[in-house]
Amino acid sequence: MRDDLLKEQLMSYARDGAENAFQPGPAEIRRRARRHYRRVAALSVSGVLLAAGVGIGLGLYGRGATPTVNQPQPPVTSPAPQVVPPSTAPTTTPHPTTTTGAVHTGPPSSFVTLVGPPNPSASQAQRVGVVSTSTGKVIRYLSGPPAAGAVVSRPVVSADRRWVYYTVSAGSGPPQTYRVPFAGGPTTKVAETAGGDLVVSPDGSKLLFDARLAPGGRYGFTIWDLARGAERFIPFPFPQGGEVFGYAWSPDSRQVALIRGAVLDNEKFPTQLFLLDVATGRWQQAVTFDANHGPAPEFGHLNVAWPAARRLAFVARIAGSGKLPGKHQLVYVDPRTGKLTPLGSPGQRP
Amino acid sequence: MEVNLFDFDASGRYLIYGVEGTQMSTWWFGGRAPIKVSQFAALSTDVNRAYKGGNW
Repeated sequence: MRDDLLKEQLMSYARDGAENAFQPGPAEIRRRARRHYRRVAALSVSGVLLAAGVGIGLGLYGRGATPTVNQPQPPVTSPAPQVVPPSTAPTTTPHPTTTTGAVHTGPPSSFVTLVGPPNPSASQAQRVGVVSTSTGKVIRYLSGPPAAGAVVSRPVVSADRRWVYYTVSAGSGPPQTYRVPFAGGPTTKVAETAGGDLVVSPDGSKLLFDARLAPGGRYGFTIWDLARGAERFIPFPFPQGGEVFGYAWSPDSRQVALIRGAVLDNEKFPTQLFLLDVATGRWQQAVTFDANHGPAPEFGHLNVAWPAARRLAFVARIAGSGKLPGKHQLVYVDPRTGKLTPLGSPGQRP
Repeated sequence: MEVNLFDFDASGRYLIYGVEGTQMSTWWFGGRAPIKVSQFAALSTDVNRAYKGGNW
């Protein structure tokens, strides 16, 4: 565990070092080029090793007018750091090989999750932990064993990776939501509200709970404003809960996407994507999926993510597909147009 | 199949993905097709430990 913590810290240092590495400007590059030419010329005039001098001259001529200036190397903490691909446009350059082999381009080195026995009994506690993305080993725990009979919810980490939130339910009282630093530290109670499976807005200002999961639950979301310490209930745009396949904040924290679909054969409603305008509380039915004519979201508690404004993602069952994994495939959907983009198909780029 | 961990990182190019509480994997979406970056068992029988939910 200590090795994983050390590795995570070293990767963090390496990433920061690489990001902060000095990048010469154009003027500096030209200045270094002029200095380089003067040194070569001095060698030529002195007549030392004429043939070698001619060779150097020819070599420079062959490379063009501006010699390449090597950039400073980032701190050496892992083998073979790779060059950062542009972050604004998709690229087909090779991906980083491992999370420990790439300084710039790897995914986050750890994630938060609930850690505990596979089938916990009442006396076996589940705790919030930080786990290595590359090895799957626990790096540190962020919560201690809960009280007897208490249930800890799925934890979430804020977008800035400063805070981890989780909810503890015990007895008949409302669930208590706590916040603990991602790096470890004291735990603070931040909310007491009905609901479960919270998600934190990307701007870090709000928590969203599935109130359907609360005792005597209503069908809707509870949104908790962290700064004001106030909650607001927004009912779902359908008369019954149905089955919620997942929900996610938009990148700008102004909307929430909700996928709802039928699970039982006697449920006749279609699988649909709804968008909630958080400020007004208004819902918009954005997309209706038809599994007979294209990919449709598979049942799951978390089967939607919203990584970019015009791109939501979900997992669909695709017969015969070898993607992600087995017979399932990741699909992008444009919330404005409803256009579906299954990944991995020839000629398509995510 | 039930997805119990499904989250993109801040760049929107890496996905962490968990299914049925048994397998977790990370994927890269910068190219034409997703590429698996890492995979490990979320259910570790040797230490009697399982991972459930969470995000990046």
